[in-house]
Amino acid sequence: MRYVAQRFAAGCGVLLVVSFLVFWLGTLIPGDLSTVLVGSEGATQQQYRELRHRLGLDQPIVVQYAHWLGAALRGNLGKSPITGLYATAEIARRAPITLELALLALAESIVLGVFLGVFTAVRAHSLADVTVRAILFVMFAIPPFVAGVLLVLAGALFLKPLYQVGYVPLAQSVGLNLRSMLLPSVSIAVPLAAMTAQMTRTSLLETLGQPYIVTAMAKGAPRRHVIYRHALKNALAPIITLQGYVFGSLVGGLIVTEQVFNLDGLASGLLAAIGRRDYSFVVTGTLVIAATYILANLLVDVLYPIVDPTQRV
Amino acid sequence: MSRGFAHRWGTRVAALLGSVILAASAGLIVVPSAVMRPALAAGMAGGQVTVAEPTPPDTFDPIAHSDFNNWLVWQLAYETLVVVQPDGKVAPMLAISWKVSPDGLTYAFTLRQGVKFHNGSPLTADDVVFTFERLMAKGIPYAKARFPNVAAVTALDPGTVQIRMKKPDSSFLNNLGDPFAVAGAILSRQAAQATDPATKMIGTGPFRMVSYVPGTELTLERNPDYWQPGVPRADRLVIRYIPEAQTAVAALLSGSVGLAYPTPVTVVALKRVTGLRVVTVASSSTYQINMGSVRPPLDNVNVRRAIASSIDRSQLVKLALLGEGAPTGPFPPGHPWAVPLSQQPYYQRDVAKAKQLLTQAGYAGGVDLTFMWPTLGDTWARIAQVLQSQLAESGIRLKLQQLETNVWLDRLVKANYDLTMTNAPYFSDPSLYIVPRAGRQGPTPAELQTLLDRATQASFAQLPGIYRQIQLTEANLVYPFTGVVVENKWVAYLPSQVEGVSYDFTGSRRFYFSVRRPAR
Repeated sequence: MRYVAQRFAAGCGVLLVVSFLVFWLGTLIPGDLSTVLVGSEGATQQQYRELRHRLGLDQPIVVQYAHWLGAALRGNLGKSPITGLYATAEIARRAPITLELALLALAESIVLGVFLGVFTAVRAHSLADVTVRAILFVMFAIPPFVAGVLLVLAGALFLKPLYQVGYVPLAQSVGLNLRSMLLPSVSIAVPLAAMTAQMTRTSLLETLGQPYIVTAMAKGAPRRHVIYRHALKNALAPIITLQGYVFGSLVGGLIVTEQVFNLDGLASGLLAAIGRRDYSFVVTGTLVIAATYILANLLVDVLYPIVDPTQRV
Repeated sequence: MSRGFAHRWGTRVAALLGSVILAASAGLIVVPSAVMRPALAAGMAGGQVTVAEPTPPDTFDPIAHSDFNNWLVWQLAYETLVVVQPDGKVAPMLAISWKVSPDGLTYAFTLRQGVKFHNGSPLTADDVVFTFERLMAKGIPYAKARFPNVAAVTALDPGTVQIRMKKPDSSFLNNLGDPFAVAGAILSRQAAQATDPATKMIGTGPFRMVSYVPGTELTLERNPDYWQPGVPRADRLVIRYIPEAQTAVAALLSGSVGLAYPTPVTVVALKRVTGLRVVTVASSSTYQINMGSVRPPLDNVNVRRAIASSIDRSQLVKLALLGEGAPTGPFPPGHPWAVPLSQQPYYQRDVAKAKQLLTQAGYAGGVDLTFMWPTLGDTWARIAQVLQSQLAESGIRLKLQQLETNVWLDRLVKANYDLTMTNAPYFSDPSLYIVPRAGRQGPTPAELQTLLDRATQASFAQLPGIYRQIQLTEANLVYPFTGVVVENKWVAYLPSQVEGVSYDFTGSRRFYFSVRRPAR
């Protein structure tokens, strides 16, 4: 418990540093909010000065950050001067889309990956093993945007019942929601499943060679009992670590998939916000992603001792 | 390990997985069709029309954006005092008539009676006063620059507005009547003070806003109080924002939208699809080459002339626009005031003359320049590549540089570049096709400034002659920019879902007022 509290405090520190870094890096990029508002039609120097003053962009970065932090601690994470939308409301709307997509893709990749991993491990070096692994290599090599575009077109032409352009909230219709999420999640899950399968196979093979497996076999324990109870359970640790890492990177890294499938998630929102130099959204969005990362890793560390008793303190 | 055992297990898992997938997909397929496509209820004569647009609006505030793509929704819900029609004539809209004093300094507009805003409040002269007060206080520079000479707006009585000018302005009515409702959209004082216009459109237009999921979907419905009976024809208009071109094609092919705007690349395949109609228009979307005339060697007019003389516009159309477009000057070719390219100096490709001009300027060995452009689509990159090879023949070596759009903007508006390209949409105020933009290039040459001042003060009848002189002078100075090509645009639609489509060269979406779902 104390360990979790420590990790939590450290996480808050990380978030503070992340928020300042994003804030500061944003000012280093040429072209700020005033550039976006003026657009390609230009303005006089005088008009620029007035606009920058009105937006508070003429203040030193530390002062701007202090203003933001002060408001943020009171729960106001800012409002875009262009869209008039509050960062928190926008993120609350977009985060569930990304989260659902990431969780679905993760679940699909774990089910498929662990199954294929076990399948190939128990048949190590047989023809089936070699064939499946060759397929896994191809799966791993397909970039999500290629798989995405192909699935979009295939979906529109041949899989109409399985396909819905754009996101439908779960609360509105479960069926339509799954239709809008199925193809995108599959396009991400394919390479992930290949990765998980390889990891499962390697880890399981290693465990299957352990003396206690031989002992279990020798005493006549049922084979599937040996594979799933004794071997797979002990082989799980590295697989779980991998999932924690994958999930963290998924939440921030779905930009291509969201774009291709026209899903209005966190990642595509961040891209649009960077495009209009809307830093209240960019900072808040980055914080949400960083927090997810921290939480996912914390969860993995908490799960670790449960699957691997040698890690218990 | 006996293989048989593991195999049996494998099959069991596979069978389980298979049945889960089957069950799931069965669940997915059995979706009530009523959820998918709202049936046309009785009395909904025009039905629902769903269209795909590539670019979502960042703001609904008509004084807060300078990009054409953001304007497209404003014209659906907002209206202006007058409106410029595609033929260039100024027609009544919220004002039924207007009087101009002989000195051109006072305009009196009589407002249409019985007009209501979407929140139910009536249109009064005070709302017009508020609109202009708000524009001057909060408008972005671009919006304010549409009305540089307005001195005061006053309500003479609830039905009459007077606008006084600082000096006569031949472009005033054309800006007031921008069909895209830029800057001049009449807002309700009451509504704009209660609701942020950036997030909700409350105007007097044919459609009123129901909901907006930012970046995703805008739902509009017929304004039952609209002053013109029978407009709009559709009961409901849903605009889905699909930036990815292939995804928009997929949405159209699957029937989840009835109308979309193809790109030069996706249109090739769409033209072959049966059951789909594709309309091509010669648009006003003009690409212009800008030269950073503040810094050497581009401050030398002969270097700029050499560049202009190296451009082969027909080849650009063929290679960069895939044949879908036309050569152009600053005015789109169909514009009544456009000077034919054959009459404009330095508009014909002449490599020998370009080399000679470079030698005259002291650059016999050629020049090295950087050509930058924003990340706004493939067409920009293709034009850049073709230009690079064309200019190379005259000894002008281009380094190509594609930039993130705001980084590009930052350099553009500070004139911090050698060569770049801009894209101009349709303008209801013809002067916008030719006036230099603040900060984008070096100082305006005196002879051009004289002509520009004359144009502002002139009567509308004198304008074509002056604009002709301005075009010739600008072509001779290769300043502030030189028009190169104008691109075709397309709208593709399913006749089974949409009827009444009429797309024109302005790129206006006002035809959404006449679309409807066909009766079965």
